[in-house]
Amino acid sequence: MALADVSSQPMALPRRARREPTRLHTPHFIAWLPLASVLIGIASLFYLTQTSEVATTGYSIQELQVEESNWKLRNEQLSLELAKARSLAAVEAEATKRLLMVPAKDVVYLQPQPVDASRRPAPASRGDARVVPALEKATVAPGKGLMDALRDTISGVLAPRSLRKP
Amino acid sequence: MVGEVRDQRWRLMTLCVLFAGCAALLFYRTYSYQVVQYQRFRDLASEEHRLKKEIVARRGDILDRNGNPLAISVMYQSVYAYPPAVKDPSSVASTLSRLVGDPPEAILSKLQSSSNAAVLIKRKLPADVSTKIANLDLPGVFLQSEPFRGYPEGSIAAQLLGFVGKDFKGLASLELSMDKELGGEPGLLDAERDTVGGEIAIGRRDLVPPTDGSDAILTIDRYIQRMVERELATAVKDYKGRGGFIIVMDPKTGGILAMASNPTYDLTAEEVYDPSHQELYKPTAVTDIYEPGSVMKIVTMSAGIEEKLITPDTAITDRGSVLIDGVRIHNWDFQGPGRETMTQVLINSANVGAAYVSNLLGPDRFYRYVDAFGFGKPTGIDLPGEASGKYRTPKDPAWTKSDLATNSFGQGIAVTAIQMISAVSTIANDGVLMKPMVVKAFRQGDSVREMPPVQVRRVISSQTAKALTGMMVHVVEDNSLKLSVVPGYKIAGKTGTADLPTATGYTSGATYASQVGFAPVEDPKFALLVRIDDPEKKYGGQVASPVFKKIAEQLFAYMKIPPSEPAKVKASAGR
Repeated sequence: MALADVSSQPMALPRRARREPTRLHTPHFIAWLPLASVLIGIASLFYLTQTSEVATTGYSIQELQVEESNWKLRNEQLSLELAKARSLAAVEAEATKRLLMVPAKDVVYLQPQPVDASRRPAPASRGDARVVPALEKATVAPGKGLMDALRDTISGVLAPRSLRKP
Repeated sequence: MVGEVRDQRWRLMTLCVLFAGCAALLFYRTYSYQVVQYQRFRDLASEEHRLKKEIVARRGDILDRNGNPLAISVMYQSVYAYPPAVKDPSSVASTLSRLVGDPPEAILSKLQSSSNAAVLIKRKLPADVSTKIANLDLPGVFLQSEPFRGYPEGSIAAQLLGFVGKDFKGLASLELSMDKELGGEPGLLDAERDTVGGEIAIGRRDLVPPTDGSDAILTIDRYIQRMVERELATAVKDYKGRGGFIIVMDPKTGGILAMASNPTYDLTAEEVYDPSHQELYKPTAVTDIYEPGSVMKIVTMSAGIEEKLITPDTAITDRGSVLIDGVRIHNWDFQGPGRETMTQVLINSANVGAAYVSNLLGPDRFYRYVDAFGFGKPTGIDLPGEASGKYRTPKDPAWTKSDLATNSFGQGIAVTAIQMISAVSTIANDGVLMKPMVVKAFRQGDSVREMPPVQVRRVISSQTAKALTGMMVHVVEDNSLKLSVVPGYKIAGKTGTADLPTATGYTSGATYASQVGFAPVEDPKFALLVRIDDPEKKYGGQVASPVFKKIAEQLFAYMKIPPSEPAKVKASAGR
């Protein structure tokens, strides 16, 4: 009877058993595992991709550095060629062989002389105003007659039509 | 029974001891490898995949005073082969021959050599050729970048510039003395390498970049340098000389505008260094001493005028010779012109007159001026191997009074050419001695470090310098030869002829013919020294003066120096 009573009563669960949360949460934990695996997988993939990308970029940089040094090398060689082309020997060879120039033997020094103000044409026209300073600069001691002729010619060419002699 | 048990125990014990010993040995070895030699093995392991490479710094260029390059560094690639790794030597030789231009047989013989070391196929490949070779990717063939020195102006100023060795270190002249500034500091790459020796892109990488060398800007002018070298070579040939040198100096700064020596060597040769030509590699104007001859009289006269013992018009009676301390001193032509002023002493280059002045000065004052003009000690020019020069003073037991007399006209005293041109420049520079210099500045990128001119000391007063200049103008204009007169220009000058000394005395007939001077005297722009060694004609006035004139004429035109007397120029041109 006592046994029957006992069995007929609802069996009280032990306190510990009622508080077993792990069993109740297991399905959730299992559900997280694949997600975590996927995340780890993605992270690994990301890492691998990045590493691979860095390596590829690194090798590309190395290739570019080699290319850069090749261009620098070519640049330096061209600089030398340029300097050789600008050297006095090259300039002299160009002048004497291609342009058929000869070394100047007699140096004639020209001495500027003051311009006679009375001979200066009045700046009546635009043409005259432009001619006079040039003539002042070009005036030299030897060949004064030649300069006069030159002045007249230039004045004639550059003077306005109305002032030209028929 | 008891004996058997004991026997078994012994065996066990022996075995145990043996195992324990082995264990101890193993433990010791492990301890030794892992603890005691930890660093060594760590380094060995690290070295296995370590790439440690020195990065060569770019050697600075050498430029003239106007920035025109005289020596520049250029990287070229050279092609090498490692014979054991070359698979088809004939085919490789044929391919390389087409690209580098050498005969295939010569390349094949290199490829078939039994050497286990890399062999050089061709140096200094143009960039397009080296790129083509690199693209072919021939097994056993590889390229190596190597720096070379290029000389755009050709082989000018060889003895001044010097040259570098295969390691790109300076071996002579400026390349040697300025090696630290020009060479820079090499860099270092410390990284990890892969199995074929290439750098691992994602590995550890420590880079110490190189510091490139500075460019040296010289006081040399390429036009003047080229011109004086040409004139010197022509003069040596025309006068059948053994050699010589010419120096052009800016008297106001001490800057060398040109320094030419003959014979010289070729900087542009494939192999510059030849042990049999060592004498040619040094800057002889700085390293070699010679007896200046009558050029020294300007120092004697300067001292006499400065000490107020003589004036340009002080007159003496010159009988052609004088007896000093038992030694008879003769004039160079054994002639006695009679009464002559000090100016005429210089014009006639009279030894008796110079000896007279030195006697007035006495040894103490005379040698004080010799020292003040910079003789007997290095000038401090930025070139290696500078000689001091040599002369006896009263402190030397072997010195006699006749030494004083002979020294006064440049015999028995040895000077360097750089000392002599500096002394002449002192007179041109109003009596102030400047330190001669070759390097004007160093340039590192955009920053320029100027080397300012250095004033050594005032040697003579301005008045003395002017008086002496006047006397030297007379030497050029009143001399019967007049071979260094440039019409329209006032030039101060003095010729010198000295016998070539040997170990046993003086060689008969062989001379150093020289002339020093400066121009224009109103505002000196250059000082010039010309020396021709052992010419067929003996005297400075005959040999050095025409060369002096030719160079002076070209310097006037190049430096745009207007004539002080234009009328004379026209008259000369008219003739």
